[in-house]
Amino acid sequence: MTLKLAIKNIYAKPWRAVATVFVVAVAVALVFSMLSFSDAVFDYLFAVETASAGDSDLTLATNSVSDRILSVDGLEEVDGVKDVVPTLNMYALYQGGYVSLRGFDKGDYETLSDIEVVEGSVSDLDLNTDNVVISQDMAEEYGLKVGDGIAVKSGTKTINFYVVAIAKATGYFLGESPYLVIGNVKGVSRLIYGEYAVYNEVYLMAEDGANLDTIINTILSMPKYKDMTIGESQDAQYVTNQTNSMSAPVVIAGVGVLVLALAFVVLISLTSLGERKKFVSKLTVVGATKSQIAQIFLYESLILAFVGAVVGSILAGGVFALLLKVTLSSVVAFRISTIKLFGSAVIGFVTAVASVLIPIAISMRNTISANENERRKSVVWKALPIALVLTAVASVIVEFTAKGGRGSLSLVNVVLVLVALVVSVPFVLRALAKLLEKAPKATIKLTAKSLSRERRHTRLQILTAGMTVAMLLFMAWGLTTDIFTGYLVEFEDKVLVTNVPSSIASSPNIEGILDVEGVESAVPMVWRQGKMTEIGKGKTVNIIGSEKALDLIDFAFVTNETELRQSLLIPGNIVIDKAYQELYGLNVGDKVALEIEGKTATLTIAGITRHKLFNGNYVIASIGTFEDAYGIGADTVLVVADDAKLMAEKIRSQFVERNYYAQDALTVYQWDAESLGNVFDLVGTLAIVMAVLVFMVLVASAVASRPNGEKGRTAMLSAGMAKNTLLLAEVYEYAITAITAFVLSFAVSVLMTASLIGALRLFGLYFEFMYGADIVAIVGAVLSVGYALIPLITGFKKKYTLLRQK
Amino acid sequence: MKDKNVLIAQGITKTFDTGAPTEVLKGIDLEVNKGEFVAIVGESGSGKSTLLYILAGIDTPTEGSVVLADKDLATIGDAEMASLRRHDVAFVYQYDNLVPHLTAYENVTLPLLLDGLKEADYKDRVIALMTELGIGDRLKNYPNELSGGEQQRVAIARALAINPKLIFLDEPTGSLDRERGRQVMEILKDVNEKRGVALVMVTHSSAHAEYASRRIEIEDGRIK
Repeated sequence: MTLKLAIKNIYAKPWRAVATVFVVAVAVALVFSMLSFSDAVFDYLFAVETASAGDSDLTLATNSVSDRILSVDGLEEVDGVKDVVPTLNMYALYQGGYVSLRGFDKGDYETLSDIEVVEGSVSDLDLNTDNVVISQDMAEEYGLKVGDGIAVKSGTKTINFYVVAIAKATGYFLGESPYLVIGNVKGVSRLIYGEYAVYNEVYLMAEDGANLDTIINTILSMPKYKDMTIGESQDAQYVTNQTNSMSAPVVIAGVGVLVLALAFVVLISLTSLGERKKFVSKLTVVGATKSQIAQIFLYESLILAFVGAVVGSILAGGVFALLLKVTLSSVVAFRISTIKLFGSAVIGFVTAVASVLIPIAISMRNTISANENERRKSVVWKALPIALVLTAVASVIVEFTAKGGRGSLSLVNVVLVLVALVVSVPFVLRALAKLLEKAPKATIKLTAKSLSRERRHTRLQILTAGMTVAMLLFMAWGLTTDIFTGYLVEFEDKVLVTNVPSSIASSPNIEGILDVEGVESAVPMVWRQGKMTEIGKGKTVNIIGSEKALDLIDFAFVTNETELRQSLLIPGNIVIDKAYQELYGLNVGDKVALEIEGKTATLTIAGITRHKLFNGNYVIASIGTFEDAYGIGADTVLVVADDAKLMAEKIRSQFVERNYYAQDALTVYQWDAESLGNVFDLVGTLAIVMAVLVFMVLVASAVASRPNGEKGRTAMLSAGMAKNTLLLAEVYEYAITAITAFVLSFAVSVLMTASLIGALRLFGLYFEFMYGADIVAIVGAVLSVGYALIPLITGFKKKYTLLRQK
Repeated sequence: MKDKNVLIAQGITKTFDTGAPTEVLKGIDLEVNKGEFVAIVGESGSGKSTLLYILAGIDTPTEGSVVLADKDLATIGDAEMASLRRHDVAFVYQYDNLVPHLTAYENVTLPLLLDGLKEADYKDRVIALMTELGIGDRLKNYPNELSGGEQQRVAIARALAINPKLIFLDEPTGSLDRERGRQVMEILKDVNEKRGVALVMVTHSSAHAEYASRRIEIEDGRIK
């Protein structure tokens, strides 16, 4: 019986039901996407990062790019080593662009990773040393097919290879940059020496349970390998850090949208609170018990939440795929975790039921009489907004003053401040309306009286919450895009030249690079990734190995510049970013353990710098420090030139015999840049969707609640008010509401921005306070004007008629 | 409670706190006999509607007691109060009595549905009742498809559907024109006389008060 009435209730308000189902579905899909996003990004990045090494456990490499390994004697005999896969990796030119050539021993091609072919056969590689496999992307780019020949050039040598298979972008070919060509090691070696097999990297697969450190030590104790570098092939921590950086904005934006979606469920229910109260009253007067009434509403919310959860579960896979496609701009294979999907549906379902029940509980709280003659609120109810505001203020004070206050508390405060804002904004509007009651103009006076007497301001609350979140999302989009643009500007004039001999550091003209026409400056350096093993679960950092980096990149000096420059030259010293000071409490004089390619050294912090773009992502050391601590010499030359692409080509052609690998920095970091750009665009898309959604909900709510004020409007018209004046009064009402929402949202957005930035620390990210007042003002103004114009847009005037008594 | 009484109210006072305490009812004693038709009249603001709500258990008195159909309203819980409304007493408002998304028939049968009765047990009786009240052809219409008079007749049918001992009516003709008001009053008179259902009706119309067997006038919170 109660179920039947619940279904009747749902049918009675189809748009309310559709809106609730839609919001719950979006919430479920978002929860699932948020729960799965990090894992999917991790899997993808891990696959990209380990594309070369495949399933191997350890990678052994020569210490200098020019060194070669002629044989891998003794490695298979090392205890714990199961398999040894030597390869030759080198860059070469094909049709003016770089390709990466990779030579394997016969039969070893698929030992590290499977090659999925779309055309041809991998086994054909064994038929001839000139045979190669290329990727589908490369085949499409150059119009190649199986059987075609490709002339590849290195230095002065050109070798013709023949395509015997075309592979999918998986395994070795995943995220290839530049295009990868896999062939026989003897074939590839011909570009260097002739038809002898030479190698420069050896991949080792360990037996199950073998101790990798023991294997590393054993190999490094062998005279033949003692000067080589050996390390683990898979750096999960690095991938974790990368994943966090990429996931943070998406997760935070998603949580924001999720919280708002759930707030919408509450607010959608609140828009019909008056009608529900009447319904409760009518049921009570005919003898319905409280439990029967509760059952009706419970069934109603259960049905809507269930349908929403089911629809959300169906949409979840698509939304998630879209999210990955947009953020990673690549075909990403992912699995839908049934547990996560079920968990998301349950979270969405339970929260939606709870959200729907809150207003219902309010409507059931009073006696029938109170429902009929809306009674004044209780003292407790009145005190709630004050208590919430005070709690929010206290919590924010603790966040910004207490040591370690930023992080989890920041995230709590983002939600707390938003809730306090939404709960308290009606009081501010009423106070403003009270002031406006003294206005001389009758229309404003009447409007103000109406606003100050109105008990509920649900639409104002929707507008305020939606406006605040939209402001934050648009600002996040604007600021991150700014940073991203700065990142591109910082790199647009830089060329990275690798495959250079370590002697280049001591060459006065950098082996001739400095003399190339158009080169503004050239700095030999070590450009590696390392791990601060004792910091933040092994924080991965980019290591800029040159004291001259301070002149090339626009760093701000937190510690005294002169002292910092002098200290940096002392071997064993490094300079860190301010983020490490903020996140991990590191200071000048502290010692940190830094691991590079399996070798760990303890270094001293000599100074602290700050950089808006590379926030917390770099450590600067001198070349001397590198040589002393790790035995690594300069391996990269950073060249600055007006036109980086042109300069890269110029260096390639002028140093063709030395086979330098020169690429403009934006091409080198193209994937990272595209991914970051896509994440920021996603935040922008969420911002636009949010703003449109908020506006649509407001228009729908305004139209749906028109009958409520019909008596008042009739009274006004009966009293002789002109229709145009009534319309103007309604526009005033909407405008005053919009101004209140705008002013409060603007003020609170500053606080929420600070807390949001603090919350990023949970992801190991540190940013200085940033705020885009112009973006916030524009977003607020557009939404406010749009809201104020709703009476005009939706044709309120057409419905101005005196009520006809039936 | 005496056997003949369906309602006994003693010492009813009601004070509202609207800034300063306002005593709306000042010690009302009232008894209503079974099958009696009582009209409560008085000026606007005299407290007659407040009294009706208190007598019907919709509002609570500040002081005093109400015994309705042998039940002391101060001592019974929500479930017993709900049962009382499903079996013994009904209430008809001036307007807006009906659930908008239920048909006329569904509105009338709502208390029976809530009581867990099977439709087969009451369907014919309810249709006959609605036909008797002149709304037999409006069973499937929703409230917004009915005239004000028809809506009031649906509300009365709903009240009668439970075979109550007493029906409270708050200005039942207040939203109707004179002719429709008269029709409703005739129906109520019939209900009272033929079915023996006691009625307690608040009205400001002296003409409609004439239909009652007893008239009580409230003035300044007291029975005059």
